[in-house]
Amino acid sequence: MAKTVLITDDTAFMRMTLKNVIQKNGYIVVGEAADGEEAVAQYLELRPDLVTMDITMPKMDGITAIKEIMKHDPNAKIIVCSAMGQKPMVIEALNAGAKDFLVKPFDADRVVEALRKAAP
Amino acid sequence: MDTSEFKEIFAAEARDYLQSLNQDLLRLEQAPGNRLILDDMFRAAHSLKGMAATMGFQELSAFTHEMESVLDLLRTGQLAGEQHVVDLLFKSVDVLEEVLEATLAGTAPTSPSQLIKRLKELAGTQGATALGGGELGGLKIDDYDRETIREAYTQGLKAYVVHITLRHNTLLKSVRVFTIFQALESVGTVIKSDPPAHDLEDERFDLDFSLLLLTQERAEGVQSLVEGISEIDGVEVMELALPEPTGQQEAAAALNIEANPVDFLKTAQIQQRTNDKYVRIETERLDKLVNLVGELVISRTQVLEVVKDLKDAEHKGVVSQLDRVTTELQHAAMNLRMVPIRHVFHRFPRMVRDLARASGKEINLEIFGEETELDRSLVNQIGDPLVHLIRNSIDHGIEERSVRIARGKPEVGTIRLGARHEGSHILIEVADDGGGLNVEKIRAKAVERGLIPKEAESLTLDEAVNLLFQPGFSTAGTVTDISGRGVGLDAVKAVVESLSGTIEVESEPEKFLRVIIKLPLTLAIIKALLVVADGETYAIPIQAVRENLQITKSQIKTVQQHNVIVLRNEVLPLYDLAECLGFTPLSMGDDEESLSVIVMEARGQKGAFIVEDLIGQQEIVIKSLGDLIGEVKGVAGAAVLGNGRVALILDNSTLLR
Repeated sequence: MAKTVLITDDTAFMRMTLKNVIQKNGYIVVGEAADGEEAVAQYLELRPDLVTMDITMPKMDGITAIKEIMKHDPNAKIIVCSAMGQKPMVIEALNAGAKDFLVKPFDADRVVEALRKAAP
Repeated sequence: MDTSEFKEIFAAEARDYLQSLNQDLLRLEQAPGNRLILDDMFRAAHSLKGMAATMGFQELSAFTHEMESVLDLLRTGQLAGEQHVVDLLFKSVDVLEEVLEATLAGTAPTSPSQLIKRLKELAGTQGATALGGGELGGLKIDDYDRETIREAYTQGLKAYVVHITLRHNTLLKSVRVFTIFQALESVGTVIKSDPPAHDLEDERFDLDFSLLLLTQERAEGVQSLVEGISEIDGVEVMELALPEPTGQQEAAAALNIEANPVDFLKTAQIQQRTNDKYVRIETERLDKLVNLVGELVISRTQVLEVVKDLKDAEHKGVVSQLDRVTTELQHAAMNLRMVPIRHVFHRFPRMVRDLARASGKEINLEIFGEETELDRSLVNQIGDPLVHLIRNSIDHGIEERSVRIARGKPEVGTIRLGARHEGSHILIEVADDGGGLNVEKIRAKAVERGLIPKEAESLTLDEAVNLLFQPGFSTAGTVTDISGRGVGLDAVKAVVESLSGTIEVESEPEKFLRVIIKLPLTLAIIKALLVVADGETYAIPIQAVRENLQITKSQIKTVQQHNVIVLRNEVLPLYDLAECLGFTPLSMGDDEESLSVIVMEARGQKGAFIVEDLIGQQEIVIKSLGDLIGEVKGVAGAAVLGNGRVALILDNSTLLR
C-alpha cells in the first residue's frame, strides 16, 4: 500500500515543490503543516508513515516538533529538511530522532531515496 | 622519519615502475605466463608497495599489496594468466597511476575499493584478513588496537574494517558521516577511523573513509545497516581474524612494510652511485639556468650593439670571443632542456591496444625515432594532439577487417608513429594504412554543415584538409567512444599553432593517411619581426608573418565599411596595429604617402596591419609577463631587446580574431 506523508514547511512554495515530487513517486501526501505546532497536531491526528520537517519555522521550530512527535511515537519516521550551513541544527535533529536529512535545494532523487530508506 | 625530502625521488622512481609495469603487461599479453616478465612485474609491485608504505602513502601501498598478491599467484602458477586477469591488471595499473598522481599532488586519492575487491577475489583472500602490522583498508592498527580487538574477541564480539564511499554529490558530508556513526554505534562500537574522527567532522576527506567496528553483528548485518543509509555509494565490510600473538612479526615481515622502511631509499642511493653517468636534477633548477642564459644572450646582444662601431681590432677580438662562447653556452643550455620524445610516445602502445580492442580491430603500432629530442615544454603539450590523431586513425582510418580483406590489404592495420629532426624543427608523424581521406564524403559533410555552398565543385585534397580542421567538423557516421564528437582536429590545430608549429596532411584514398606535425625545437628563443606602433616597439613571431609591404593610402579600399587591401587578387582585411592595441591610430598624410604593412596569418586567416615602422628581424628570448600581470589578451610575453628596452610579443592568433 502506498505510504502516507506529512509535509512541514513554512513556505507554500516549498510545500508545493515537495508535494509534487512526493506524489509523483507513489506516495500519498495526507497533510501539510506550516509550522511545528501544526505538524505535531496533524501527526497525532493523521499518523502518517513519514514526515518531512523544515527546521526554521514560526511558532514552533522543527527540532522542537521532532522531539514532541518522538515523545508520542518513538517509531515516527521523520526526515529533516535544512539549508546548507545549518549543520549543528541538523545534527540536533538527528539526535532528537530524525531518520535522515535533506539539503535544500531539493534534488528529486534524494527526496525519494530518503523516503524509501526511512520507511522501507 | 621525515620522508618529505624524498618525495621527488620517490615520484620519479614510482613513475618508472609504473611505466615498466605497463610495458611488461604488453609483453605478457604476447607471451602469456612468461615467468621472467611476471617476476619482473612482481618485483616492481613489491618495490612500489615498500616505497609507498615508507612514505606513509597508505592507499597506494594497500593497493599495490593486492596487485602483488595476484602477481605472486600468477608467477607461481597458482593462477592462470587468462585474458580477464590481464585486463584486470591493466586496469589496476591505470588506477594505480591515478592514485599515485593524486597522492603526489596532495589530494586525497579516491580509494579504488572496487578494484581492490576484484583483486582480492582473484587472489582468493576475500575472507578474513589476517591482522598483521601495518594498515588495513587505510586503517593503521597499532598494538593498542590489537589489544582492544583481542579483548573484544574474548567477549564474543567481532572486529570489522568498514570501508564506506559516499556518493560524489553528497551535501553536508560530515552530517552524513554522523548518521553512519549513529547507525553503527547502535549495534556496536567504532574504535577508530581513517581519516580520524575530527577530520571527518571537518569534512577533511574526499568521499571514502574506513571505520574499525566492534560488534556482535554478522558482516552481512553491518553491510545492510550501512546500505540502509542515504547517499552511500559503496560499503565494504572486512572481518578481521583474531591475531595470533606469535604471528605478529611474521605477518609484518610478510607485508614487508615496517620491517625495513629505509630499504628503498638505500636502493635509490645505490642506484645513483652505480649509475653516475646520469644525474637527476630538479627541473626548476634547470629552468633557472636556461633563464639566466637567456639573460646572458640579451646582454651579449646589447654589448654587440654598443661595440658595433668600434674600430679597435683588439676590442673587437675580445667581443667576438664573448659572442662565440655565449652562443655555444646558449646551445648547451638549450640542449639540457631537450628530452627524448619517447616520454610522449610511451603511453601510446597501451592506448592503441585498448582502443583497438574496444573497436574490434586488429592494429599494430610501429614507433620510430623515439630517441628524437625536443624541448621539455613541448613534450607536455604535444601529447593531447597526438592522442587525437591516433584515436582518429583507429576510429576512422583503419577499416573493419572485412573491408581490408576486400581491398586486398593485410588484415592487421598498421599505425606508424614517429619523429625526426629537420633543421631546427622536429617532425612528428602519425600515419595509418587505412581508408585515407574521402574527399567526396568531406565535401558532402561540409555542404550539410553549411561550411561550403551546395554548388561547390569537387574539392582538392588541400581544401578538404582545411575543412577537416575547422571547428565542429566530424565525418564520423556515429559518435563513438573513441572519437567523432566533432571536436578534435580543430583542437589539434590550435595546439600546434600555439606551439608555433604547422600541420601537413598527405593521403591517398583507400591507401593511407599521414599527418605531419612540424614544431620548432624550442620555444624559449624565437626569431621575431620588430615593428613600431604608436611609438612602442613590438615583436611578432616570425612564423606568423607572411610578408611585409609598402602601400599608399590610395590602395586602401572599403568593403562593407571595412578597410581592405587587394594583394595578388586576394582581399585582405586591413587594420591599424596601434588601434588594435587600443592606442592612437597612425595619422595618415596624403594619398601618396607610403605606409608599412605586415601580413599575418593564424588558423588559415590572414590580415594586414598598418605599422608605424619596421625595425627588422631579431632573435629574442621569450619571458613571461610574470604572475602579477598574468595573461593579457593579445600579448604572448615580453622580450628584452638589444638596446635594453622591453618589447611586448604579440599573439598573432588573438589579433586576427
